[in-house]
Amino acid sequence: MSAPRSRSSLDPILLLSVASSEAIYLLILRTDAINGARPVLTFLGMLAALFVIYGVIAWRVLQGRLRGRGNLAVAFAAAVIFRITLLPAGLPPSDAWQEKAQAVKTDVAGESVTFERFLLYDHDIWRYLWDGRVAASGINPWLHEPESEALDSLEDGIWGEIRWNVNHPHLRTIYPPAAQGVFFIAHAISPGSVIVMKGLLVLLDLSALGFLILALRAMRRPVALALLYGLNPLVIKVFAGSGHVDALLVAALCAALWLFAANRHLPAMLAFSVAVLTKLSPLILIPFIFARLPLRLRIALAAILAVSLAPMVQAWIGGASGLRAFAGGWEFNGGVYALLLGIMGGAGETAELIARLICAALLGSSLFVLARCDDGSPQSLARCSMWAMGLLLLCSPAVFPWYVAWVLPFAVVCRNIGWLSFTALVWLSLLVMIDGRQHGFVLVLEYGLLMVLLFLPALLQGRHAFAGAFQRSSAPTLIEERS
Amino acid sequence: MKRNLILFAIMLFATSTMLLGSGTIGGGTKSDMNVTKNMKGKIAKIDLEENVVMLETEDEKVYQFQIVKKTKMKAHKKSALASRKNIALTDFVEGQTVQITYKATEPQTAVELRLLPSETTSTS
Repeated sequence: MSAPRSRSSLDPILLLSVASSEAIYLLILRTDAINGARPVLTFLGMLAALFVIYGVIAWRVLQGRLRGRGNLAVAFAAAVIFRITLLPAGLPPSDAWQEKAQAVKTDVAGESVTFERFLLYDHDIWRYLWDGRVAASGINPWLHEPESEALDSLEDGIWGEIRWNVNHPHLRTIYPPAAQGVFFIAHAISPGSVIVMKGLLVLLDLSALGFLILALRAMRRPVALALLYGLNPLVIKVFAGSGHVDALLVAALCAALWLFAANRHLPAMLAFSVAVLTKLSPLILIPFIFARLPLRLRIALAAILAVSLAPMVQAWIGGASGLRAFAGGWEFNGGVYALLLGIMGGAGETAELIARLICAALLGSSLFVLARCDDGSPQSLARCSMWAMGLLLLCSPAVFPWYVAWVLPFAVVCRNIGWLSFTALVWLSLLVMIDGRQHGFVLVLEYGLLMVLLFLPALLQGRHAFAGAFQRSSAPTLIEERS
Repeated sequence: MKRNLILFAIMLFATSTMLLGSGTIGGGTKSDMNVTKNMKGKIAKIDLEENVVMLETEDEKVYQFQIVKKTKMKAHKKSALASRKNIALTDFVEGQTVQITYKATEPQTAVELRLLPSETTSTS
């Protein structure tokens, strides 16, 4: 007769999952992430394996099987370790570990550029470093495109290479003041250092995890749910691996969610303004935020955004405007937008305009419906934000994988399998790196599976369950925090 | 319930019509999808007839790059060719420190050849 299992014993499935994931993250550091079928499929294979493991953990979290302080401590520690592991991603993969350590030291010291131009298929980080340099020199970062002669005097030492590594150097920066603040701080710590920039973004990413835990507590939901964010391979890859500034946006949104749940409206409003001042996409949440704020704070929010975004006006004007280029011409991995173009027989200025207008109308009408369904509760804020951000992705002409991180915290709070799964499905878009072509069948697979996962469970459970996905919560709040 | 049905109808429309939209979309994307890498070093040899540059890196390895019509020729603002506008391969000389950018899938062809200031440390 076996002895009853101690409640404090560590979950072997969790331990195995953590060890396997760490091994794969280490393997990713040794992978040459370049174009071509073999490298791309290898990379996607490793991501798929990470998501399978994540799925196992997520299932146990959602079923309430991951209990005990020990298990939670291991899981949250793993979330930190995975991020630290992936920080050197982008160093030459063939380098030995000692060489990588030396390269990191050289990078932090600002002696030379040791990272490759692409960090796991992304290269936005060079723009961040350059913007930090421009701002630190006392020049308005929205005024000149990186290749402008006005910035030639900044091209000394390692800055030439950083400047040439910037993507679309003919376009002025698109990043609002809060994002610029991160770039400036990273520059102040160690000018030109990729690892310092990524480290700062990982700290923000971990802050997001912390705020999410606080939000879950405030909403009396299991803290273990935060692991669905902390251990998510998309988040780890895009923030620790590639270094995207969206980490600040996500952290600010998580903070706002917590502060609204705690009825602290002024700091919640400030947190939300930081999110908008990182990237403009959270503006779509304005109807739900305004509904929770008294008039004076609504006016304050509008004033903060207007004053803070005013210096960016330069970024909107002229042919070198990055914002206009992005809003008017960027297309990648679009869902509904690509579909509409397909129906209209392909690209063309008129077709693109019509597709954008239809997408805007779809989004607008959906937001209207969501706003009508909002009951003012913190749970409702999470639900409406999840659908609003999700619909923004569905209707957007450009959906890069790191955008899905915007939806993730809300999907975690709402325990939404569809949007959680989209963090895995969106990587199908990376198939474009094989030959530079975006194929329709990939989009059908990616978005078709998303639709199935979003609506099939609810439809199988009947129309009442489906209604519950959008309407006011009628079920009692789940309280499960026994350790 | 009516509101939910409206939202569902929107989603359903998106899904069903998406199934009709299979095939290649727009022949590619407008973003930069080519993974490129940089290599720094000194020009060991230039073959103007074959349009080839031999690059010697700091670890004394020599690599060969084909210069093609599409290869961009540039110069650092503090280099000898900084004032020149239309730079050609003939403007480069052996011993100069340069950075070559190449597509990771076509490592033998230079996408960009950039002259660096002479004091630049050559690291690969």
